Amino acid sequence: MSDIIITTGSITSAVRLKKRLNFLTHMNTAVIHTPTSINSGGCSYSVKTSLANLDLIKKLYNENKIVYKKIYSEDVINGESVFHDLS
Amino acid sequence: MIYLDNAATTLKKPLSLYPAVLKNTIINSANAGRGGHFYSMRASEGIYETAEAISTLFNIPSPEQLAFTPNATYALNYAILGLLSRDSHAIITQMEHNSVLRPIHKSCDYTVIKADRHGNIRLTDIKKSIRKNTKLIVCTHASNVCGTIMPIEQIGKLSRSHGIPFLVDAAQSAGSIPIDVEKLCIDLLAFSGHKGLMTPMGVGGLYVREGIKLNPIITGGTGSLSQSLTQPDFMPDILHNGTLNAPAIISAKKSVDFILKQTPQEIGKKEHFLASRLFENLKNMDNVTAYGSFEKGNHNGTVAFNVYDYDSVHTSEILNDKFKICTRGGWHCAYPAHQALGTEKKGAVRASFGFFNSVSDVAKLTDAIYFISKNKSFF
Repeated sequence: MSDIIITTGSITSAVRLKKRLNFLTHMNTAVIHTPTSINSGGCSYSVKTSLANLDLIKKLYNENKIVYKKIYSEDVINGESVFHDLS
Repeated sequence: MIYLDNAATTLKKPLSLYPAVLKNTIINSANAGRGGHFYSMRASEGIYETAEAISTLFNIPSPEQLAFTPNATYALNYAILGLLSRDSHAIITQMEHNSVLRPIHKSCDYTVIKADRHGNIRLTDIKKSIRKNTKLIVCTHASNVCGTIMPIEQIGKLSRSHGIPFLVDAAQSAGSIPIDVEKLCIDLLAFSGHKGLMTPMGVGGLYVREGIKLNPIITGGTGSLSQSLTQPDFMPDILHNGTLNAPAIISAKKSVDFILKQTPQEIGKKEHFLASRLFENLKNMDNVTAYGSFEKGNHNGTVAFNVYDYDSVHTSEILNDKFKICTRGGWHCAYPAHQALGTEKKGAVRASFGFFNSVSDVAKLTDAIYFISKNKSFF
């Protein structure tokens, strides 16, 4: 199963999102430095988790329980990461 | 030595803090919010956890609205210089510290609300001073000179009803007076960590209510939006320039946890009790004058006093040299406050109690002041 990357604007927002997700769902998450190909405007931070959590994350977002910018899937093709916007 | 200069900084801290400072200096000295490696991430999460604890303490809706600063002075400057322009008008009180007075003075036209001889101000005076271009009302929560507590909730409600941002300087109240930014209608809260919050030095902060936009007065690296030549406009990055003091901020959580456990109410009650006891002792002493709002009861753990018309710096020096008691003489970076109290010529001696002081400290200071008041040979 591939991963998804949920982008935020800052390290503070990313840590907050990670803690919110852990509190609400106990899903396995990690804060990462946003890959350069999907950041907008320069450095930022994101939360990485399994693609299996996508529907739940969107549901929480729609219920205003979490905040993020975008969601990308991450696949590795020929050794390179390829991202698709799933927002 | 007996330490009674807690209004400047608390010397004694919760025991849990000391090993945390050592530990975090060793394991959390990486640069938070810079890069994505293990140590940076761990430091970032540690800083966030301290922000969460402080948010709980002040009922801040989201830790993202809290920025860490080196101290309260920086926080106040970020708020004042970030909100005001030359055509603005601001309202402050006579009891403010220079960390409010100086940035206000260089920013715009302003009205100073006069205080009485006990440091109290009148809400009606603030109300009458509001103009069309009033962009900010600033008030210290408690005077750093005589400990008088200001009517923050009433000022907050007044400010909110006029749509004017309200900035509170909580340098003398954070940790020892309950602060609820929602209930008190506080839009911006500046605080220092090393005083009542009993954190290491180098920790302060500014809460900015969501929707209030500051112009950044310092710009630089924030670890976000790196391709832009302009500063991020969102909290806390708009104020998080350069490297944060991660070891101190992360360790500060131990102090805040201690305060949350003891509660600001109980800490304040103890400091209030010690200060009241000293005030009562001094009130009955010949040739000694004590200042502050003790009759009304709205004061914290700070007492200002003078012996005869002696130089307050010299009295403080005698207390240090002969009696091993640490106090602070002079004008305490708040000259207008001394004008209100009538101590503008010689300043005053300030004894400020903290959570770790005891009744025995009050007794020893009382004895020392009595001895000085009976022996003019000291001067």
